Parts: sequence; structure tokens; C-alpha cells
Amino acid sequence: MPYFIDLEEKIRFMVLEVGRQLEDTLKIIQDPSPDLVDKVKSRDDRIDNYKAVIENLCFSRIHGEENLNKRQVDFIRATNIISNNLEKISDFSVYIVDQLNYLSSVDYLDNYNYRPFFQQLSDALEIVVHGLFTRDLNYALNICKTEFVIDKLFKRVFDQIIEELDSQKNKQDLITCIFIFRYLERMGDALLNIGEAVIFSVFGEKLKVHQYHALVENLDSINNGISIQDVGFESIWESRSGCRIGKVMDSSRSGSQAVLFKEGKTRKISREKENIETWKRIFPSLVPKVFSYTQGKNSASMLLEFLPGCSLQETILTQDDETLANSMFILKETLTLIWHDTIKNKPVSSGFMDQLSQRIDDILTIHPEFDFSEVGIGSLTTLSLNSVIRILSDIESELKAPFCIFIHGDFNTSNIIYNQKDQQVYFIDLHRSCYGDFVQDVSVFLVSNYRKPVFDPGVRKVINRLNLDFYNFAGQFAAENADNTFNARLALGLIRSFFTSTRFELNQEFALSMYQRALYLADKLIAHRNKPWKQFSLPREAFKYSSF
Amino acid sequence: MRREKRFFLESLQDRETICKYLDALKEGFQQGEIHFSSKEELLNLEPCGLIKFIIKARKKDGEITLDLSFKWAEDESSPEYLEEPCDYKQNNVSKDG
Repeated sequence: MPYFIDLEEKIRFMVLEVGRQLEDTLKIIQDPSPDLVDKVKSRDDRIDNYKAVIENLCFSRIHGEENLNKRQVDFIRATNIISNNLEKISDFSVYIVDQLNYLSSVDYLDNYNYRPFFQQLSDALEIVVHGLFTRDLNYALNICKTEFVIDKLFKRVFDQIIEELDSQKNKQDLITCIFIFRYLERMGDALLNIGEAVIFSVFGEKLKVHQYHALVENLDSINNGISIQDVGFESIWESRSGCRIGKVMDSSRSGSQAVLFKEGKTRKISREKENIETWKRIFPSLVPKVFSYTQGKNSASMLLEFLPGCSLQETILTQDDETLANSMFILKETLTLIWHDTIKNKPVSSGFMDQLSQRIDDILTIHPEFDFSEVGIGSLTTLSLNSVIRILSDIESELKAPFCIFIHGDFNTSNIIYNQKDQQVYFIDLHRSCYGDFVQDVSVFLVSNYRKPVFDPGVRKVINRLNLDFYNFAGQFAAENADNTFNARLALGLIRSFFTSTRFELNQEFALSMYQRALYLADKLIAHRNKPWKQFSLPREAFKYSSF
Repeated sequence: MRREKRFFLESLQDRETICKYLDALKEGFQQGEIHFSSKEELLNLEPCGLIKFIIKARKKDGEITLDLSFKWAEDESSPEYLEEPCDYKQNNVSKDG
């Protein structure tokens, strides 16, 4: 990229200096010389300066007057990451040299095969500049691969040293050797960051090398002729699921169909795939098609159909009344079909309190003040948090749903896509779908609307109205199907969702309003014990936002 | 200096449960002692003598605030007061409705 000649020149010099640093470190190990040690240390200062200069150049170019395009900004960002990691490699060289002083004799290191570490590191360093300047993914991958090779080399040496530690001899030498090889291993980690920075400069998105491989594998398996060099990748960062989700496009062809790449823990991705298959049997057009699926030891990935439209959440926040009413009409029609078609006469537990208990530690880490003990005001006493959860669990055990339905499982409004043109809704993010209590979906839907951090009174009025409408719709289905405990279970579901939603909310006041709603509903349920649950009336104000 | 004792409770309630809290306070005033307890603090109040009683109600932009405030001086013969007689102490319990 000739536009950045100054930056290119500096990074080229820095790579050369770090290469020399490695060469001299190797020389010192083979034949220690105080002059060479001084040289390594003073070169480290020079490399630190390079890093500072490059950082200044990067930031001044990004924040300067020039109108840089995304590709140019990405190049600068990648260069800065590379410079930071080169400096780390130089630091590790100095640490290794320092550690040599603790060996009874430098020759002790000859017991282990250290040369391949240096060979791997030098080979990778040699291609960094070319990889970055030519935006060559093959070079980037080769740099990343070095880390895996070095990890293997380290494992071998580490196992050997651990075995020798049993012999009770030369403990200090052995431990010093572990430190030295550990620094070599960390140089490999720094190289992985460098390789991934080159991948970033090509894609314009942070993609770990294993995610890149998964993407290539998936694209190969659908055999659509997209070359990985032409792939445009646009991350979708809103995901809280821990999965990596990105929109993949063929940038070489305008108007080409985008697909969705999803990568994450095998358990989650494989469950989602199975659930999509089940949904396909029930409602083929409701969920995305799976174009490909690949599974590794710990992670799995798939390419999914990219569904056109916008999420119901966006529709609620941005669209006019008529469009919103239309989206809700279609959603309710779709749910009516699903609920009627999949209903099974089999009682099912809702499991809300288990879900809450699993998340309570996370909630209290973010909001420790939400844990409370018993409080007394004269003759009136209130329960502690532990007691509230215990009593609610007891109540829940009495409250099985009389039937089960195939539910979405994470029915928040960002997982519902509305397509106005096709007059259709789609469901996404389906790893929690199962035959369960439909109140799970109802409560998550209501709270997902409530927890939107939007405080405009007009928008809030719309959300309140929509929630009431959805509650009435679900209540009607419950009444038609003799679901006598609907309101009580919904209270439990709302308690669970209000409470657990606070762990993502750092606006203290807003988190408090959800937490207090959960506790208010808990009080209502607890006060109703020993009365028929059919008579439990759910206070609608609980899912209606108010500004205090 | 004597340590300040405080009790604070914030929650969402409806009319029905608000009445329970008010009943508890009413009962305390009738008996001449109200105990406030939490894990951290135990606060015993003994309303006596003249009590300044303030009711504040406000309505603005659809939001309503009703403050009840009670203020009195501790009985000079109370053992707690006698511990450090120079320190004038007042108790203030307010309740938002």
C-alpha cells in the first residue's frame, strides 16, 4: 500500500531488528558473550522506540485530516497490532537472555532441542512484511501455523523437563529451562496475533484463525465458487451467545446472495442445527436453511441462509404504527399456527427457577447489592433472596404446564425477523428450541421489550401497548386450552427474565427497575400460596415500563 | 462521634402491600416503638413527645410523589441517649409512596 510508505518503512525495519534479536539470542545460548548480551538489550530499547514511533504514526494518520477509507484504516490498525507483538517478541528475547544467568551452565540447554523454535520463529518473521503489504492470506495462515508448531515443540520439551524433575537433580536448571522455553512459546503466541492481524487487514474484521478455517471449509463444502479472497465478512456483534456470527458476501459479484456464518461451541451449534431440522419439518419456511455444517473437537460452524428483513426489535423501535401492527399481526398468526399444530397433551415443567439459579452468581457479580437478607419493619418481615428463590421453586413444582408446545426457547424480539414484503416472520438463533412451556417464549418476549434501554415516552408507550396486546393474545390461547396456571407461570417466567436481564444492564436505575419488578411479582406469588392458582391475577403493571 | 444508624428499603409495591407497611408503622406509633432490622443494622425508634409530621404531595408530568416525614427528639431519659449526652440525635424515617 504505497500510500503508507512511512509506516511500511518503519515496520520493515522493526521486523528486521526483531529477526536480528532472535539470531543474537540463539548465538548467546550457543556461545554466551557479554557484548552480545548488551547488544540484545540495547536493541530492545531501539525496538521499543520503533513501537512508539509506529503507534504515533498510526494514530496520527487515523486521526489526521486525511479521509481514509476502511481498507486503509484496517491496514493501519493491523500494522499497529503487528508492531505491538513484534515488541513483545523482542522483550521475550531479553527475558531469555536474563534467564540464562540462572543456569549452572548454558550448556544445560543442549539437553533440549531449542533450535527448531528459533528456526520456526525466523521463518515466520521473514514473511510478515510480504503478507501484510500484499494482503496475502496464505502468508497470514503460514504465520499463524507457526504458533501451532511451536506449541507442539514446547509440549515435547515440557514433558521431558517434567519427567526429569522427578529425578531430584538440577531442579533450578530444570525450572529455568521451563521459563526459557515458555518465553519461546509465548513468542509463538505473539506470531499468532501477527498472523491474525494480517487476516484482519484482508477481511476488515477480526477473525481468529480457527474461525477463518471453519469459514473456508464451509464455503468449500457448498461449492458456490466464491474464492476466500473475494469474501466480504461483516460481523454481527450483538450476539450474547458467545458464538461468532458474520454476514458473508461475495464482494467480486454485485448483488450476490449473502449467507450467515455462525461459529461457536459444538454443543450449541449442533443443537441449533438439529432444532432447525425439526422446525423445517414443522414449518419449513419459518427458519433459515442450513447450507453447510462442519464440526471440530470443541467448536462447530455452519453457513445459514441470510434471511431478508429486519428484526422485530428494530421494527418496534423504528417503524410506524401501521408497519408495527402488521408485524405483530403476522407474528400472532404464525404463533397461533405453531401453537395449535405442535401442542401435545403432555404436562411439562417450566424450569424458570432452575434457569434463575444457574445465573444468580453472574447477576450478583454485576449487582452485589441485589442480594438481600431478611428485613423487619415493626411486625412486618420480608424474606431474604435465598428464601424467595426457595419458596418460588416450591411453588413452581406445583405449577406444571398442562401441555407442551414446540417453542423457540429464546424468543426475544431480536430473534424474530420480519419481512414486510413477503408478509412473513422468521425465527433465528434456535439452539434452545424444544417441546416446552409456551410461557417461556411469552415471558422472554415481554421482558425483551421491557429491557430495551429506550426511554423516550412515545416509544415506551408503543412498547407498553404491544406487551399488553401480546399478553392478551397468549392469555386467550391459555384460556382456550384450559391452562389454569398460565398467569402464575407467567409471573415466574417474568421473575426469571427480569432478574436475569439485569446482568447485561449496567444502567443501575434501569437494572433496579427490572429487579424490583421481579421481587414485586415474587411477593405476589408468595402471598397467593395456599389459594387456587387458577385465581392468581397477574398485575399487568409488572411488564409496563414506568419512569421511576 | 456516635455512629449514625440508618435503615433504608426501596421496593415496588401496590396499594394492597403499601397498606401492610403503613399498618406496621401505625402499630409501631401506637406501641411507642418501631423496630427496623436488616442484616447490617438494627434500629429501634421510640417515637415520643412532639413529633414534627410533614406530608408532601406532588404531581408533575404524570409522576406523583407523596412523602411522609416524621421527626422527633430522642427521650432524654432513654439509655441510648445517655451514653453520650452531648450528642444531639434525631431520627428521620421517610417513606415514599
